[in-house]
Amino acid sequence: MSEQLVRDLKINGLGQAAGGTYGKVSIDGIGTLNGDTVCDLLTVNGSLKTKHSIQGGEIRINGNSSVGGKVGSGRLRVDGMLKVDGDVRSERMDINGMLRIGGGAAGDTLEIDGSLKSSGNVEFETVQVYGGFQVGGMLNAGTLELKMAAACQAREIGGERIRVAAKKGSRKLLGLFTSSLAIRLTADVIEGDDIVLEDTKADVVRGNRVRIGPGCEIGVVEYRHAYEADPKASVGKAVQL
Amino acid sequence: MTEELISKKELLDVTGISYGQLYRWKRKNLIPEQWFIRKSSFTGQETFFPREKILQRIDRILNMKDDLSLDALADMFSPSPGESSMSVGEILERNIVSSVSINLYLETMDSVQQPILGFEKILIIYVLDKLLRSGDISLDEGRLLIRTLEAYFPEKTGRECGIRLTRKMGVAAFLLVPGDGEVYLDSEVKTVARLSMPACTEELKLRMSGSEGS
Repeated sequence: MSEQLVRDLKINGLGQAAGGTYGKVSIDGIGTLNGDTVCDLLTVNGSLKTKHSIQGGEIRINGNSSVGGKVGSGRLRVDGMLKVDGDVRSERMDINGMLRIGGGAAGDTLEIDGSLKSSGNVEFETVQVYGGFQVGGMLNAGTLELKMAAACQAREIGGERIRVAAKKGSRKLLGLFTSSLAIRLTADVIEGDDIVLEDTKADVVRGNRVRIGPGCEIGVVEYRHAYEADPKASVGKAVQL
Repeated sequence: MTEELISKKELLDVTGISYGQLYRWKRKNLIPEQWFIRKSSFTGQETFFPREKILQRIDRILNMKDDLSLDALADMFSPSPGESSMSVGEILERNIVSSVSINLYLETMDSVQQPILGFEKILIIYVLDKLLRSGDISLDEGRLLIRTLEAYFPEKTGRECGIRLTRKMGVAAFLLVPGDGEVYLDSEVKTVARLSMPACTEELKLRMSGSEGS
């Protein structure tokens, strides 16, 4: 026994386990972890519930899971739904489904095909979204590539390269009835070096090169080098600095 | 005395950096979240920074980013302690602190000789050295400082802590202020010296890594 330093954990059906350090953790069914867990690989097919934190080399969630503490991983993939009350830190994050975070999120690459909801800041070098998000704090991304298929909202957006467009063929009709479901990006402030926007509503947009596309409603644009606006956009005023 | 602030717009004008750079450094933790101070102004929300701290930080980043990776810089600026430890001899040889300070420190310790000092200890000596050199404190007050720091730093105060030396009617008192906020004292109290631990940590790391000769 003492020879084997880390053991694997397997839950099939319904089960509970203490936290601790494991090699592989796989849950097929419904599992509960009653303590902080560290592992190389966590796979959930079904449901995982824990009030504690999880640290894993790789984490895959298929189904519906909730974590009361923090989540840290090299790679996090959610196919289904994951709810985390604390912060999430993952070098690579793929969301096919939904992720709700009570804290903030940080890492290197974030890809959302679905939706992300976060109360705190979201900071990644590369962010690609095909879907929607709601960020209570600031979305800070080196490169932000946003193809909206749902309403997107952030208090502040900052980065180097920001591209926002509505996904082709997305349902525009819904927005006619309820403005909250309209497919558009809403933010107080958007700041970056190189900004191209479509279907965006913002109070202030600041950048070196700014292009305001159709469907935008912008209060003030402040730019350094270049500015362009589509005739189908509404811009309160544009100022060169 | 409230800190002087600089708006984001002015900061970019003065330093010549772009929004992208500013946000990249923020992501890399080169600029702490607490420095982003959001205030509403007539043009909507504006972000301000503590003027002196941010200008110095950006100056350092711009000067050093060619030699060091952003991650190495982040280590340098983080208030967490450095990894390194040094022997007394090495500290003196590299002129990190004066021999007066180090002797004063060794004298207050119970153990006979401790040849290797951890970063935490060196930091305390460095703070002591700074205050002694500036002439703000006497040797006796130096002993008081060592005892105060040893007792409360960083377990009780956290790393983002400020040090004040106050005097009232010739009696000295050290205050450790968690978060380095403002302290309001009665008008007879004179604040003689004021230091910030994160700033000292950063300076010491610079000195120990040898990129800033003394």
